[in-house]
Amino acid sequence: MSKQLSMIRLWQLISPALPIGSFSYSQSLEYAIDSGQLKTESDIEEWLTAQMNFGLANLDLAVLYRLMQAWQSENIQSVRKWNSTLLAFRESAELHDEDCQVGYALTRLLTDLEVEGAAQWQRQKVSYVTLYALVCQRWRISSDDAVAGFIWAWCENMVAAAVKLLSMGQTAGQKMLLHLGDCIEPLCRRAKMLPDNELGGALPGLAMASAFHETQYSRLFRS
Amino acid sequence: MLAVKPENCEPEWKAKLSLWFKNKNEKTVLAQREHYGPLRVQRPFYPEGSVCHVYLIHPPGGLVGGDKLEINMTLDEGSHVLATTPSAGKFYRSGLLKAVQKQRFKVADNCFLEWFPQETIFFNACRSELVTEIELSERAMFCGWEINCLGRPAAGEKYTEGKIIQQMRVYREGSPLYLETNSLEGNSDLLRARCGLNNNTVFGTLLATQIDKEARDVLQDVWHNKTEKSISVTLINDLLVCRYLGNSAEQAKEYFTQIWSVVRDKQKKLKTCVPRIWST
Repeated sequence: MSKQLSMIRLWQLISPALPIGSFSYSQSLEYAIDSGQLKTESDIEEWLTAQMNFGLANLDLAVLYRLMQAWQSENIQSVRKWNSTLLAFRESAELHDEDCQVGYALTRLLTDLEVEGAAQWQRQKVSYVTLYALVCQRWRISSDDAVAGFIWAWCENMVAAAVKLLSMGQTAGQKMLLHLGDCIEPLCRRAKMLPDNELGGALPGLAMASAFHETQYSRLFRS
Repeated sequence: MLAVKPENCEPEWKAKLSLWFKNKNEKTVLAQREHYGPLRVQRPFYPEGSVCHVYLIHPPGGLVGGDKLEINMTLDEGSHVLATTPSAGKFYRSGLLKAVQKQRFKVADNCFLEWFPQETIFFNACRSELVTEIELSERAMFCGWEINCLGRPAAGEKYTEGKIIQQMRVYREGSPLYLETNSLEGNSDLLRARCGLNNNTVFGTLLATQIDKEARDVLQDVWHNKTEKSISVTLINDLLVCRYLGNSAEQAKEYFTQIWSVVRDKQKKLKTCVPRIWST
């Protein structure tokens, strides 16, 4: 596969049009806005910046690097270990179920697209990150590009949720994406260097907001 | 018991305590203990009959840079242990060396461990690692909490420099059931961020296994409907995870104790029996 084709495959994978349902989750942003914790665009930007710097960088991205390695060497035992590690780090039922549901949807899709090795994950709990790493490996996307693409897709999804929840303008959303995009390079570098004993990245405020979202009276986003 | 340095203890361990529990005539007994350095266990209490209550004591009262403490507990043969500490754990200001406390609890089938240490206070400029690892067999039961305080706000001391790694790691039959890493640097934005600590100085997690949706609903109903949102409740598979975020260790303990009464009734059909030492 040429370098350019690998890049095109990555764009397909991280497009909001990929039918895996990520758009139906707000990762507790809905509760944080509904409860009045976040009132302005800059509140939201600060929330998302902290979430990606301390949460995703220290867990999802750091483990994604490890999973890419594991798939590359076809070390299924290591893949299983990192898959169960990721799921055990999910801080609420909602975040845990989201990861499993999106993971399942991606598994189904990749099975239909005949990506080798996807089908066997249909009958077990699988994190989205695990199958994302598999397909990136199969499509010869480099680890650094895979990780940057992963976090970019997350930014786009969260900003789309914010636009809906706060009735923000589209231009304001694009400005926010510029700022979040600026954080990606240094954050990926940190994720790559993170030692095993510091994996995790707990966010107490987000974890609690996510639990409160489970009992929020009316919701746009799934719990 | 002789204070002999065990052969497999690395030289840098300043203190180590290992306890083995088992059932004897319908009562949990402390069958064996080993200790090295300043870590002790008091004679077990039986305020509620068969359950073994133990107090773990670290006479120096806190850890400085270069200290390593290890506490092991093994529960076998249907034993039920409630372990606590008589006073807050402390990590003092460190130089270049970090201070490490590792706790490892193994709980066999049909055994029940309740782990309710008092809060841990992380002084400003500490370099600390506090790791609690719980290995559960398939039918083992666990309830426990950890409460962490940053700096000493009452003495005007804020946590502004240093590094803390605090972990709870729970495994069931060797695979991870719940993992939590709080990695906190003194100058980090995480301390201020609303999705992080939101300028609070006390945070804690209570975990309980074998809890059903009915008990979760009861707890969410109580805690999620309060105007003051300092306790959250969620149930991941059958593991109850409750969090406290606020500014008072006393309040965290009080709230967790209230949750414990619902949890203990669900787990063992038992009323809570609050260790007397908490009120002294």
